[in-house]
Amino acid sequence: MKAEIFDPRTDPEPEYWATLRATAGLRADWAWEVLAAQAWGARSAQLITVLFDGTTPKAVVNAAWLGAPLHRFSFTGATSRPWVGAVHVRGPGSGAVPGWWLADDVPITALTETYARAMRRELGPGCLALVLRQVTADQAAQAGRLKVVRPTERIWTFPVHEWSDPEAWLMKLSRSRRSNLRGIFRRVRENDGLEIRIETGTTTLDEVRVIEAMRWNDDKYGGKLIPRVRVLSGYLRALVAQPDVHSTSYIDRATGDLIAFGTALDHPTVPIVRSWTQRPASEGGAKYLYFYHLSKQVEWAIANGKRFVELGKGKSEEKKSLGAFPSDQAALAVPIRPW
Amino acid sequence: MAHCRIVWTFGWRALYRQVVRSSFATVPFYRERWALRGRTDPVVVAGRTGEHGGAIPAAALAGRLPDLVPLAGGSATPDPLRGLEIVLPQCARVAPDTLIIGVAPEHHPLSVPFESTPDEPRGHVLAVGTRAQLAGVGPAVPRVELVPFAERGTSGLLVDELLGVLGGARDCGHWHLDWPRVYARETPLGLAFTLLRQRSPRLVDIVPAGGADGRIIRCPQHRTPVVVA
Ligand SMILES: [Zn+2]
Repeated sequence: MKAEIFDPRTDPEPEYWATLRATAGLRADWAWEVLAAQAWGARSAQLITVLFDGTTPKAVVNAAWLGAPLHRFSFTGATSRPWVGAVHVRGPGSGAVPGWWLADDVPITALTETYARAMRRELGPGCLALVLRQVTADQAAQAGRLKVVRPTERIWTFPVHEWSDPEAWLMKLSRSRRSNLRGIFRRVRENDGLEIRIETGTTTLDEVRVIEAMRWNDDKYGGKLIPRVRVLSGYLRALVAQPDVHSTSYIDRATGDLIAFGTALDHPTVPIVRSWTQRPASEGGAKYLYFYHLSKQVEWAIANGKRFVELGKGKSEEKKSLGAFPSDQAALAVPIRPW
Repeated sequence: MAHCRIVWTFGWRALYRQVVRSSFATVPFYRERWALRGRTDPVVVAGRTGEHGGAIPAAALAGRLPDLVPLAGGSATPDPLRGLEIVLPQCARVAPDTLIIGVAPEHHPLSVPFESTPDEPRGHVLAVGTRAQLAGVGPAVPRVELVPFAERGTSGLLVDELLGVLGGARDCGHWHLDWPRVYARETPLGLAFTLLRQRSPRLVDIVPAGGADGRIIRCPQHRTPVVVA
């Protein structure tokens, strides 16, 4: 198989990209301008690779080239490349989804072998290992003998296809969660001061305000040693402008303040609930909005005939109580042969 | 003189280019703006030249101050009196025993706020403030007015809420920049200023509120950069 490797910061969108995205079911975070904005805001080089069988794209991979020298406090330079390191395959802008797509007739060894060799050629002999995130046990078993497999945080999914309507979903939940949700719905319905604005493919979102809101979470999760790089507003602007992205803003009508914000990336069968950020309770935030938001995503998915809704990592108790199921995930590392 | 010319032509500009490079590499606001839109002089992404050569009107920074902090951290609060300590003595006689009425540099030993100005101040006195603030000061008191760039006349200090004290009128009659700490660049949007020594919040190519028309030449007397109409 032939490999084409792109740096989305500077390489123009390949003419087959839109078709490939549709074939592969790659959500809006794979739109070229979104990839470009994401790569500009990253501390490591982000590479997109397409594997071809003849002229037919058979695989797409998004990876970060991580290695020495490590950039702690700077974005990656346009030309600077680590001289030794590992290729880290992950979803663009999110570690909670796999960073690759393979055609049905392509085994995962295409990544651990063909793709790994292509990276080695592109990045030089310092490219020592390949790390795949969000691998299932089956996939890990198919890789060669030399490998390291480590379990990572589980991801959560709503089995929307099991629920014929929102009522059927509610009946699957515990009695206490059900009555709690009904209370929340009533509370939101009766709260005239709360505006809920749902926008699809918006170019009018005040992304600066959303970024400011996301900072509440960053300050909570950011490490001391390596600061969490904030989402660039250009990235958010490019993402929410995609026609298959829904943004929900929860706004205090009286003050105009943004209380919470969430995005969902659509997909024919498996949309994903991406970011969620809300003000701390001391600043007018309310925990119940998270439950409300997820409930609305369930209702929307049922109404639109989706099969699943992906929820990503974290907040396990909350997600479980809303009827989501966990999937075990692993990270798989394989050495790259230097020849 | 030859030495000054070299510093003025190469050193000042080299410092500026260094600040541009470092801001592109470490400061979210500039990273995004120059990567996705572009800039000139220097261009940082081939083929992307942006609008107004990359000059940024001060209004575009509303709500963005946290994005002017480099990734390694730092302050997000601009100092509206940055540079006062250096520029004020260049533009007015200030001795350690000068009583400054109004806006005084942080470490100046003798100062009083406008409200508590003595009726008959003794010794050497200097009033520093905006036109409105100085209106209440007796006419006999020497004064230095703090003026926004767009409203400058023939004397005073150039101030901006974000950039601080950009420069002032000296005895030669020219508007001198706070050289070499402040860099000024002629752009289609007017003069754009860069604070070469302020790490955070990083301010690069900012056109002050109200605009800043003018050109940069070298003062024939002091041999450092001045703003002319
Ligand atoms: Zn002069």
